[in-house]
Amino acid sequence: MRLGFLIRESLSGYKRYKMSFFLTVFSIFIALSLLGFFAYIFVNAQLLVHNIKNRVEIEVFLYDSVSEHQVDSLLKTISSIDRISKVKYISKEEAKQRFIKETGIDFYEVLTYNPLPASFTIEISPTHSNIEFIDSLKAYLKKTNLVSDIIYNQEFLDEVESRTATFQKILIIIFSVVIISTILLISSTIRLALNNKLDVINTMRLVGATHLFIELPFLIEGIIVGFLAGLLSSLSLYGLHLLLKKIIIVELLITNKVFAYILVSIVLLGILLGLLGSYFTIKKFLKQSAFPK
Amino acid sequence: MILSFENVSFSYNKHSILKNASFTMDSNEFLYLIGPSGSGKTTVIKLIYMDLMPQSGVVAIGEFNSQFMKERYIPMLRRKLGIIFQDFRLLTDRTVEENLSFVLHSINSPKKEIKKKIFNALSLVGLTHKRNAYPNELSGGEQQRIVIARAIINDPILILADEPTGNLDPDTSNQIMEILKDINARGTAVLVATHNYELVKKFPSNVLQIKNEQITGVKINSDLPFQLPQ
Repeated sequence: MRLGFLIRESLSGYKRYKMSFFLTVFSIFIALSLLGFFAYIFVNAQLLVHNIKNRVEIEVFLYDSVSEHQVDSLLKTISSIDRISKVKYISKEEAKQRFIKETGIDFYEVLTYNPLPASFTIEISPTHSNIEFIDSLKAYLKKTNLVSDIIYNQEFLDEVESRTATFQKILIIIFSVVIISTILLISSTIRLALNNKLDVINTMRLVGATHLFIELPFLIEGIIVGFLAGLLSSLSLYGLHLLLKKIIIVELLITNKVFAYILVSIVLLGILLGLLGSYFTIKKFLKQSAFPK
Repeated sequence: MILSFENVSFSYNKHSILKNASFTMDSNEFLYLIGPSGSGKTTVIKLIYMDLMPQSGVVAIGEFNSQFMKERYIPMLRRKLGIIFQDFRLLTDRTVEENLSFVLHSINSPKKEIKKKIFNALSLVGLTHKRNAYPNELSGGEQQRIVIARAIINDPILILADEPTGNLDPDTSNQIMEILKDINARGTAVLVATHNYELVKKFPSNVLQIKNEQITGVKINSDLPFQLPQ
């Protein structure tokens, strides 16, 4: 197979049909930019939710009658639960010091005893900070008869839970719509580009070029178009990222590594969509030949 | 024998074009296929290069047979044919030489033979000096000669010409027919589908007529079994 000829024919799309070539690149660029933008928003939102969930703390207050041995045993049990990322024991004495530090009030001036209970502060790993888990943990702790009270910001967590779920659903719907539109857009723009090359395709068919030989220049062109569109989309998203970093006061949570993954994925997605769009369109076009099945 | 139709039937959307039609063609024959517009001449040509397949019966060209034909063998068949259309169908954004080399590249011809084959084909149609011209810089007759050069460039066993003079004036038509006759004289079979009966009279040869879904034929120099329209 003559590689030079195939590559020349692929690039001839650029030389001979400048307008349709650039329109194809441009439309894929727009679609990929939209996808990239939503991916960027999605990742940032996920990280934001992750951070919020990470801050969920449960305070478990113990009865004064609980012995040191019981505290140790409960601490061990709680620490051994996978979903719990951190457990800290605060003794009655530590609680007192903290209270005095925070309020500047020394209650020993009016009281003869320390009224503050010992407690555990439990941090739950963010992937598991859901209401069901916290409820089950609460039920377990109550059953030990060592715990007088359990406090956490239930309303806040409920709010985050429900808003996160809604936000994710909306993003998934938008993402799916954009993906489907992108494929349709690519397919129709490539079909338009192919229509410009009908004479080339028909000549190849009439003189006895094999299907693979006819398809290859279009597939290579699809890869080139997808790559260029992906590259442009990545560059524009990078520009947007820099701009947002400058003008937005709220810190962007996305890390450089994750952002680099998104940029590379856009280029790869561009190549893949360009290739698939070309493949299905040229296959369909060649199948329309009169050869009966 | 290079080509045969054996009881071939074909219809478009229930409109019957051929019904059990049969004919044969020899390997060095020059054959006309005549009939009025819409009679099915182009269908016969398409059945030969297997852009259409018969609904019943057998079309055989050389070693290719429609009964056993698979889609992947069609390019191999077409490499043995040279196809000429009324509307030229040259690639207008390429020079004459690029139009011809495109054909040879498309069928993976050895690179070292390309220049030689282009020169030979252009010599045969008398247009070597136009190799760098674009199709729109050529007259209709010259464009059709380039199409003929394109058709013969790969040494086909059979040339199929569908109304090759349809867009040309009488003098240019005569030149085209002379070239086709010359190609035939060099040993390549030529099938010309036409409704230009003047040409048939001027360049007499074996004739097939499509009429009433049948193909009937007669050999050269004998009386035609049918009257050519005036």
